[in-house]
Amino acid sequence: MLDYFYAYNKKRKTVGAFTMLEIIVAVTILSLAFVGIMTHILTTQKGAQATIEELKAIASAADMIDRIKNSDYEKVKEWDKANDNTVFADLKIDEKKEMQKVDDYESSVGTMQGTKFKRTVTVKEIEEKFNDGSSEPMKMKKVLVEVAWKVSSKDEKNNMVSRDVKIKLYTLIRKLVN
Amino acid sequence: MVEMLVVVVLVAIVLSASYQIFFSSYFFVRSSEEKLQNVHAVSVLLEGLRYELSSLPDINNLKDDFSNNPMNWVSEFAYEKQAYDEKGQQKTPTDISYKHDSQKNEVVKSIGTHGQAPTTQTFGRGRISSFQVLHNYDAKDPKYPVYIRVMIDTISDQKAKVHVEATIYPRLINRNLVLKTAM
Repeated sequence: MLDYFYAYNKKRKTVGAFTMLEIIVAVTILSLAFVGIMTHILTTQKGAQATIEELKAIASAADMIDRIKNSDYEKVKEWDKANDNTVFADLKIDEKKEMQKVDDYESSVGTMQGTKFKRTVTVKEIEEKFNDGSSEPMKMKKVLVEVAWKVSSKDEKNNMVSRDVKIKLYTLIRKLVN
Repeated sequence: MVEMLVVVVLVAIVLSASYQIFFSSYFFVRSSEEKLQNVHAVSVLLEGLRYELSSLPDINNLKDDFSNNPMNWVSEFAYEKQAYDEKGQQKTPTDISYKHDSQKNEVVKSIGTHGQAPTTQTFGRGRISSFQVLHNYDAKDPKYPVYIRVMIDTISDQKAKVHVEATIYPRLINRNLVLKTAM
């Protein structure tokens, strides 16, 4: 095999080199391979960033659920997607000491762009019957805390688009009875 | 000659691009891995604290050096955990403490019963650079709701620092509406 190769090169009067076309094809293949690898790496990076955002969103939703559970039943009003300003004012939450407002709070993680969270609270009073419906109906409040933020990514046409991401936590509260 | 020059230029471009791609991808992979490890370390610690502190039965169960210092950030605290058996009989109380080890970047939880050597459990896997806790309970002027704030920072290797703040409300204390000391 090698003898044939050397004989072929002697005939060509040139010693083993690549043609322009070969190099261009090789460079193109390499570039395509790199694009694939880079896409996967960037996806992983975005996944890690999304996990951090989700951790923070869950922590801030859990904070609010905890706060509502520890508040007087009457003070928890029937809010409809109330933002932090309304809830903090109604429950008299001290934003400097007690709990951080997350509305438009920018979370910066490393070199990634900041994320703006938005927390809303929805409360609806409901009546529930227990003991197979034989007991007196009991008034309860169904609480929904949502934390939403935007995630930017590229669409199929390579344009930057932002989509809404949201986490939801529910709880029920009732009046204390002795 | 022209062919040669074009080839050299192309090879230089490809080499330079691949050098940059390899280094940036190395950074990206390391950064992603660090971020996920940091998130895991913080979430495990935070969920454990939320579970334990939200069921804290009494502020008096907190040890004096913590309970006597409201609105002060501390990196260690301890409390006495009361438990009851099925018949309502009180079990031997357990001493629980959390302490940040700044050398190892970990939070050490120590669980001990009276007269026995404590067992320890570590959180953070060497990633918690700062752990601080604060509470608002002032025995002279108790206010509701009683809360405990937690602030956790991780190490910032590969720019993957994670900072999380949370407020935990001890449910039983706040539901009793009157603190034991104020009764």
